[in-house]
Amino acid sequence: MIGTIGHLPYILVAIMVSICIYAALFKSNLFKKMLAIFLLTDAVNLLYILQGYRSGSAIPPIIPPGMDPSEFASIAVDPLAHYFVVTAVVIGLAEVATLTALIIYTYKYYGTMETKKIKELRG
Amino acid sequence: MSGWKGLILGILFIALLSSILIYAFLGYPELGFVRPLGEFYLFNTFNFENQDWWSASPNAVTGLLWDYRGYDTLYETMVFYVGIVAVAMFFERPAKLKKTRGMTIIVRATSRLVFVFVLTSAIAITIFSVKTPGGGFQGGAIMAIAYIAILVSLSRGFLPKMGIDLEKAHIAKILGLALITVLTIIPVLYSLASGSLAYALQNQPKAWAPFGYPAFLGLSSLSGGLIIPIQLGEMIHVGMGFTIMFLLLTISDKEEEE
Repeated sequence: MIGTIGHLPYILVAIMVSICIYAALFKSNLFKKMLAIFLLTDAVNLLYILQGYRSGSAIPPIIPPGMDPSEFASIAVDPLAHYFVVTAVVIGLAEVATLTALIIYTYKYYGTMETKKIKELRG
Repeated sequence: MSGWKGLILGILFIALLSSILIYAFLGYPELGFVRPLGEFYLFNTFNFENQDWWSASPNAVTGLLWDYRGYDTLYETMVFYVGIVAVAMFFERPAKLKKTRGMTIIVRATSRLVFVFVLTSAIAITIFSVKTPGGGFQGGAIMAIAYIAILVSLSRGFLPKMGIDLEKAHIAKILGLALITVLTIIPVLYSLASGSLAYALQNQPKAWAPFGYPAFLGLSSLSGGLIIPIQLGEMIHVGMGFTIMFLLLTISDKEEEE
């Protein structure tokens, strides 16, 4: 049930995602839009990490020397979640690099980062 | 739309979207349980008794990156490459940077020392990523910080003195990518030459596909086969990619006109 403590982090992720989508859609400043998109990827990454969490005395997904693999599999956190976050961070950075270049280019051309003003300038 | 009206509509939008998402998340299991697929990777990544499925890497995340889900990482590397190419296309600048003197000799000497330390730690984080947290991307990001520290503390024009300009950074980035490509296709070439089955990006030998990179690299307990050299390629690719990006983004319009 949603009332249990086990679902509480999901609520925080849902609020974070909603705020980011709102900012990306309705903020008129291009830089703020980009920041919102970047934070949105972080919110999704947080969701991944939550999915890989294991309660109790969990250990990182690196097998300690001499530990039995079946024991390791029963106490370590999910490596798949960490893997997805690593790849998502790289893709997120490529996305931010391209967006930053686009925004700088737009600023140089129009002299503003405000989408409303850019729209007016275009006539 | 501005003022109170905009604020109320914004809060309503966020509340509505949050409610929909929370309703969707209700279908998720409670936190604290690892899925069977995750347990499969944990069980097999460094399992000497069942080497058909092992990656020879004690770090399961590193094993996933370049063994179990190697294609994903390969495509992610391509996405990063395209991202940097896009930035380079927007800022078409001269490859040669103007040389400057930079700051005082104390700052320059200290920065050089820090540069060496940071670069060494980047390489260590990359190589030992099979045993400890880290990897090619993390190492690459730290490597870029070594160059960015020089860029910020000593001015961008100091980088050519250290043998780095845009052209060389581009070449190094492509060499990193070439190393990844070569290591990816070696098993395929082996397969064509020997007639036995081998997969692109295959790390360890299987019962039905005998090709495999050496699991232990002779340096104490450093294992992982293909993973270590391919992570080094990723480190160079990512490190140089970030360096190019920051070099391009820090060249002012005034300099461009000159």
